[in-house]
Amino acid sequence: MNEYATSFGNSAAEALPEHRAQFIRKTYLLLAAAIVAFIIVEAFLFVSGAATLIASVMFSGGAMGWLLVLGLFMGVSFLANRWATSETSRVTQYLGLGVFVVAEAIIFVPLIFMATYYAGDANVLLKSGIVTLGLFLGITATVFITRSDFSFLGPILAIGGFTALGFIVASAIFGFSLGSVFAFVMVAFAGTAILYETSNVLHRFNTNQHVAAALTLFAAIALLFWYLLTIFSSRR
Amino acid sequence: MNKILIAFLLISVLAVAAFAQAAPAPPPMTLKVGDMAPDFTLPDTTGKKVTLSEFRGKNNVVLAFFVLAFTGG
Repeated sequence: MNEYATSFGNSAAEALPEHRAQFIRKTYLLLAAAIVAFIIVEAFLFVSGAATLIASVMFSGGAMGWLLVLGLFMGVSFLANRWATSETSRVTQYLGLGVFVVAEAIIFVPLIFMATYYAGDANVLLKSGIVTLGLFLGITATVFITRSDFSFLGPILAIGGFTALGFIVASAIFGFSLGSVFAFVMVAFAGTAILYETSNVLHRFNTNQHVAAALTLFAAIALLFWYLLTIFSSRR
Repeated sequence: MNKILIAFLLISVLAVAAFAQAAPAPPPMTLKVGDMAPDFTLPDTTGKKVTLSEFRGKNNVVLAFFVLAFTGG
């Protein structure tokens, strides 16, 4: 079922070629803008010293403080996602994407701190970024060249996502390390999510949902970058 | 499959992973090979407190940890 098939518009697959092309162009331009904005916000956080404050809040505060901040972050992210996928005003959608990008930039602060510290290599960010971009371009090309509908991956992603959540929560509660194998599995998971979301851009999203499409692609790319950074920072 | 569910899952996995990894980083290693060891006091295998500086100029000191040995120290 296509949950967006309402008065919101026609899906990209059924739209006129020029509308479809315009939707795809807008989606990827917005995605590129979101990635650039993420880099600028992240750089600002580190240059201004705000990153140190964020890391100290996330690194301390005990279990309750940790859960509170996690709950707050997830609440803000979900709200931002809801705004971006809403059928109301375009301003609300863009605001949702903006809030989401800032939230993602904040959540990356501790990992970037640890990655640059443990790897002892400032290029670890660049390496992870280049590999993320390479994988993203490869997967995108696969979908656009084959024009296949990968929506069947949805249930697999849902099961995989819940399983991953279970493992991550268990590792946090019981204090065990998930290891590098888990990181590689999560890279495959994020890659599959990009495949699925790119396929949705081509087949499922409506032609006026470029903000929602850009946000979901951005979320999948962020997850891929996260686990590639985890892998690169653990390998000197 | 609900696209919103997948988006929420992607967000949740990253959020939970971020907070799961936000453990305190160890302090940077400032000691170099050849530096004087900082003084410390630890229980020995009988539970008696032993201070490193007590042995200065008298004995060589080996610091060994026997994990899960369940000794008194």
